[in-house]
Amino acid sequence: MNRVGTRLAARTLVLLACTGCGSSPALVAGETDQAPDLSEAVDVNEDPSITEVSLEAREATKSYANGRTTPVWTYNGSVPGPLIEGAVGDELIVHFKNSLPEATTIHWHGVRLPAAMDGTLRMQDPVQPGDSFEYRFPLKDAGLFWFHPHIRSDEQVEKGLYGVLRVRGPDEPEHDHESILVLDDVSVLPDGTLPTYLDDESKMLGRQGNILLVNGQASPTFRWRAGSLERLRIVNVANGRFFNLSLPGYRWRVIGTDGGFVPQPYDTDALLLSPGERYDVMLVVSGDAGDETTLWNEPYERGHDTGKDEPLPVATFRVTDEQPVGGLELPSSFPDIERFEDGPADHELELSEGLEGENLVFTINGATFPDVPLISVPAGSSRIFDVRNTSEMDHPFHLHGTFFQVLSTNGKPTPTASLANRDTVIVPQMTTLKLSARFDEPGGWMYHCHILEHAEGGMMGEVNVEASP
Amino acid sequence: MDMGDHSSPGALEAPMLMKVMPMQGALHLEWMNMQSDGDMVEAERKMPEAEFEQVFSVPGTVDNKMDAQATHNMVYTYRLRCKKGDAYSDYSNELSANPTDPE
Repeated sequence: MNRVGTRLAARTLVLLACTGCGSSPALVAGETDQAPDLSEAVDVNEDPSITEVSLEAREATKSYANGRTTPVWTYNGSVPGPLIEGAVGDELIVHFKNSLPEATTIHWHGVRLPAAMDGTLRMQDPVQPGDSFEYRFPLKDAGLFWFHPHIRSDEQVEKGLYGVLRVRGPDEPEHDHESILVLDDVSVLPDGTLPTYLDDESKMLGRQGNILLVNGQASPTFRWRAGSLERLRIVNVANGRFFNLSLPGYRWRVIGTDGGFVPQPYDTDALLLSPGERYDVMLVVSGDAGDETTLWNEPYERGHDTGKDEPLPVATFRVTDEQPVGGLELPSSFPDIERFEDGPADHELELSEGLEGENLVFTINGATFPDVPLISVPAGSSRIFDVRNTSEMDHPFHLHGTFFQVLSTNGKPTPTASLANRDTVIVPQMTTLKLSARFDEPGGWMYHCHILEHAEGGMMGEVNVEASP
Repeated sequence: MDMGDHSSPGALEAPMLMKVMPMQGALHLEWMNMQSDGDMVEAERKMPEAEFEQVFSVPGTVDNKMDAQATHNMVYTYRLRCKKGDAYSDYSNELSANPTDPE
């Protein structure tokens, strides 16, 4: 299947030559010369073992670039929503109010919690306009998680409803400085509004915007001290865009993924994040004061000729003139991860796509949600899945409420040193991953493609974990 | 193809048809909108030995569409035009493809 991967570049050239024309636009760079810090949720509980915050989903406006005002949906008025901080063992209490004109929920992506707190329509009634809901659950795992609606998620996330939850563990690695990078993109029309019409390309690839965002800002600049050991915690919250990050002059030291640290950190030039994925990386800042390095989103072929797209700048990192620091070293190992149960697959899930009448549909075992057969599992048991992608594009597979491990790819076992606990993983086109997961919490748990247009287009199913008698 | 008079004050700019390609057994069209404030983009399709007929219209900001009806083993030809109020642009360039060709 083909797609005009270079269309964006061609379109850019035409628009540059044609002032005032062009509806869907070339990529627009902002002029943000400051580090885009996240706002922080206010913890109102004096008990240090409880994080208690309020979130209100409400409408607001935001200027993404070029002074245009864009109506957005926010948590507490900001995009991204406020950073929520906690520690392993804490209890998180979120007083949520919906001040939007339509129903919503909050899903806590990657968090192991009771199913009733997971924010899916399987487990809670939607929070209607003007209504409230209290989310309350213990924080079991350290890591960077995020939250977003699980109702009309393709539209609500695109409008700006997402935020980040950082949970500290007892054994965090030493570093000089830490940044969170929330990667997104947004399509802004010439009048500043977001498109309301979902075109076929956006159905196929997921919505891909014309402005790349880091922490809600276009083309931001981060400042680093020379010699600093930097920790970057990166999450891709975009609907459909994959970020394939390169930072010329540096290699990423990957120390963790969705579900905590990896036993054997590794170095890589390119860091690929599909929607929903997180990476925890480190690097030592080189260079002198004033040196700048551009963070690039490199082309990646995820299907439909997307590999022919142009590299796009994401952000700038500038070395400050502050006194250099040094002395800390990149971590080289973390504790081993227990390998999940292996064996023949209990369930096969075939991810595919096709036309149904005039509509693009995305299927699991030939069916679209809610007609994908339910998988029932006793609480406390493990299950092994062969997830087979027979379509001509990659699909990020996300499982709610528990971690999984990739045991093999096309039959080739994952080395023990490369094991990782995940909640989201790219299933490349024409590839089969064997996944193993343990299901401890009773209730209904969704699994789906995290290209949100695909999930809403049918590529979603449910595991029902039955409570022990 | 009628390229029209683009020098007239107030004339609408025609879209530029970029690609017609097989996708999922049908044809997918991609174009650029040269008119920033058009209301609609209308697409016309012609089968061999036939005249152009309108097959779809989309909002003026949209720049792609799958023609799910174009599924037979034949060459389909497309052209587009922009509409604003009661006014139309000239037709765009024409492009052709067969949906049974390799994707």
